[in-house]
Amino acid sequence: MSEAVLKVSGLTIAYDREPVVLDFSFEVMPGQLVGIVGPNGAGKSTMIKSLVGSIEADVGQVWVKGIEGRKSRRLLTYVPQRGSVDWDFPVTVYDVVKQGRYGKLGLLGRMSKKDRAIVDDALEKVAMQDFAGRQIGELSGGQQQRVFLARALAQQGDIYLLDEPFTGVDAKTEAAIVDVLRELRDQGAAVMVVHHDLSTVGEYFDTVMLMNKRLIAMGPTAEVFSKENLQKTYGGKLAIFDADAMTVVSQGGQAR
Amino acid sequence: MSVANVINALEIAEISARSLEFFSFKYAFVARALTASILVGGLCGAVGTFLVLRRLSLMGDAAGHSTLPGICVAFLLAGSVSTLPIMAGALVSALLAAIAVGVITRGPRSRSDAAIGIVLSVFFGAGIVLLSYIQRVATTSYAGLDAMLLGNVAGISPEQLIVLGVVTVLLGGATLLYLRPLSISTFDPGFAASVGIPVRAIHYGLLGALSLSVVVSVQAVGVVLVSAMLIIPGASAVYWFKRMPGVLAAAVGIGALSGALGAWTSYLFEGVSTGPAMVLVATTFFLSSLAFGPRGGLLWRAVRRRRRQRAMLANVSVSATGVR
Amino acid sequence: MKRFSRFTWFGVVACLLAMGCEPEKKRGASNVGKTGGDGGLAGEKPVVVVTTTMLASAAREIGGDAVEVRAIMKPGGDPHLYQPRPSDAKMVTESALVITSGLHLEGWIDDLVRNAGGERPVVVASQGVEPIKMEGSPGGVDPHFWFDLREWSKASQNITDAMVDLVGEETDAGKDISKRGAAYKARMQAMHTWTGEQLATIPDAQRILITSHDAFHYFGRAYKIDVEGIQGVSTEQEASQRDVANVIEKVKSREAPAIFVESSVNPSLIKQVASETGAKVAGPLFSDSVGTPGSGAETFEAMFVKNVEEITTNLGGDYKAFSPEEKGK
Repeated sequence: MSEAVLKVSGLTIAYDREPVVLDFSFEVMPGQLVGIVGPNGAGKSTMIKSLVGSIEADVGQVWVKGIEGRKSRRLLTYVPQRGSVDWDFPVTVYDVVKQGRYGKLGLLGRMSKKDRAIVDDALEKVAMQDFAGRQIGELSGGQQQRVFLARALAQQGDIYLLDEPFTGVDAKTEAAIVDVLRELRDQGAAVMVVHHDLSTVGEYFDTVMLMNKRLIAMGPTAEVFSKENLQKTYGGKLAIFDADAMTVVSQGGQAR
Repeated sequence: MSVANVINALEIAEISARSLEFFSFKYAFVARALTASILVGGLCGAVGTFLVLRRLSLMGDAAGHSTLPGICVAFLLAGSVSTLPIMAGALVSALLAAIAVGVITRGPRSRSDAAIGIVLSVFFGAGIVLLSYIQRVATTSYAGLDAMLLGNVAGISPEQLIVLGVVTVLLGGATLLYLRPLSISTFDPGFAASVGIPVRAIHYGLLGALSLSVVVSVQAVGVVLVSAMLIIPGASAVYWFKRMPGVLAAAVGIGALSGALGAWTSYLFEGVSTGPAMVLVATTFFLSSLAFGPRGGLLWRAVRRRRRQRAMLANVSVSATGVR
Repeated sequence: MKRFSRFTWFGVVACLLAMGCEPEKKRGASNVGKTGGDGGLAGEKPVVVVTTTMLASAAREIGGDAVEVRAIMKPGGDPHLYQPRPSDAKMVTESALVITSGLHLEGWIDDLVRNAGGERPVVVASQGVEPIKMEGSPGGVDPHFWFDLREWSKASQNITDAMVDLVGEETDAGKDISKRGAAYKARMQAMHTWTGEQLATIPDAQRILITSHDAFHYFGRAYKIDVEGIQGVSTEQEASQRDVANVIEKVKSREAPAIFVESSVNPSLIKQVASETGAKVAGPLFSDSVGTPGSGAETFEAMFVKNVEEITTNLGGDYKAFSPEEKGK
């Protein structure tokens, strides 16, 4: 019934001869909320960046909604890690969310009433409408993350790629963001999230992707998020405190 | 000839009389010098703002210094100090330097400040070598090549002014046209790439615009001081505005005003060349911004600190802003 | 791919560094056959190093075959702005005598001589010259003394004495040098008288000499003509718009028929004044250097004569060529 909205085949990315992502292939359906987990340096961010076009892949093909090629990447909505942003840059919260409309407005397009409504709506969804006039650097980590999520919402896409959205974010914000993601998923979007906290995987994601340069396993969380798959992914440096794999603590497995 | 002596020697009346002359454009060359100074200030302010925001300020320095070898080579090939070949030579070597830096800073393990510093030194060093070579072997007069180091807008010809004007209009228009992609790619390059903004092209485009701006500006301020006019307006503007349109407008305004006031100062006093005067005015703007600017200026920071302390002492909870 | 760009980069840097070495080697090659080091003998002739091209011209005429004269400056160069190179220090090392212009013209010569090491007499040609003080700068003097031929004669005497001391007073070479020095001095005297006559033919109202920089005050003092320069005594001083405006006013008020560019200074400011006032641009005058080959002003005498011709004819005077009776050689 539903076609894969995102299909990747044979993706390989190397920095300087060392492969960081190796022979990666997977499919994502609409209505999936996918958690991507793996140890540090496993290539998770790199893989996401190459999908949206921020990094060049060496080998591999990517189909977005069945279309291959660079142009189709625009259909992806990307929320990057907060670390790569220049916080001193003179933009307000409203400006940042407005950036989400760039795909439609282009170089000189004026904002229509509809565009304004979309931006306001996005800000409300993340409860940041009162901060619209603040310079982005004045906000806390959690508030900044919410603004970036609002920007993603303003893009009005239906395939979301988020890179570690919960890093440096308070618990309340994390819960709020998860709510928004679930809502998106329920509306039929596909959402992929690079996630670092293994203990919340079972709670947040219906699908999980385990990777360490290669794809170890991908599928429904209940099936795939198992002790043996985790051992394979993290190289055995793992302490599991609960056989259900609901409370799992990683001891920083390193990528080979 | 110190400024103190000069100010003692001239009555206020004299200064007023000369100022009146200045603004009435008694001489055509003064009108040209004023126009050129304003254009150079505004253009460098606009282009330089993006350098400052991208933390490429050192590139402004490199661009200025990198024109020198091109100027010398152009002189050796053309055999004269005429405008067009000199500007062409300056542009070629500035572009080469920009490409060199662009290539180096795109790499994964790049240290952009070291790369820019190296390019700056190599090009300028080559320029000095060529300059002394010219001193040794020139069979035609090379008078005026040294002038490129410091620049003198008082000597600007109508042709040079027209070139400057055209370049300013073109680059100014391009900046306004591409303001959104420039801003987004500076703020969040990963996101920019994902919405189809050609981040690399913008990077090189900016460096190209920089080279062009520098080439037309050296005749007014010289290769050494052009980096000041690129960096100071933008660096000052961020103390006043929290959004891009404001920052850009302020930078252009500060640059243009520095140019105008510098030209005016050069008219008032003997021995004060316009280029250095412009830079001194711009520096004054920067110091004022640093001290009094509402966004991070020293005065405001002190005032806010006092308010916070007072609020804490009065046991009122600090609002959740400003705390990361 | 990344390795490739690294090597290219390295290659570019290495090439640029090599460029810095090349001129040195060229110099060295041309010195083959002439032993360097102390003693300063070029084959058999002692080497005399001078700074300006004017000094070189005088020294060569007076010294003749007895000495080898080398000049640090090249024609067309500006001694105010000159940056000495290591090969210049080498030149000094290989010399037996150094003659400088003095009066702070060459700020760079002292270090050069000191760095050259060794011992050699350093003679200041302007010794005994009556200097013109610079206004506005306490203790500052105008170095352009060669434009007053009486002072230049004194300098030529200093040059003669220095070279005679070098080769020995009683030697044939010494006697020849003395003879040529006297002839040179006499010719300079004749030229001095002639210059005064030429300039006297300029109508009083038009006796105003406007140039790029203040190089001609000694000329003005000696031959009774007003002078004004846009830039100050040293071209290191940048001219402000005020300076240009002042000169424009002067040109207008005196109705100067012509203003003059100089061979070693950027002409753009003079051209600016010309376009504002409609005055004719004349010249080039040779101020801080003799002319380049082909300019007709390759020696000091030629340069001075050309200047006088240019000034006299363009300011409405009646010019007659210089034909000294006792012209030597």
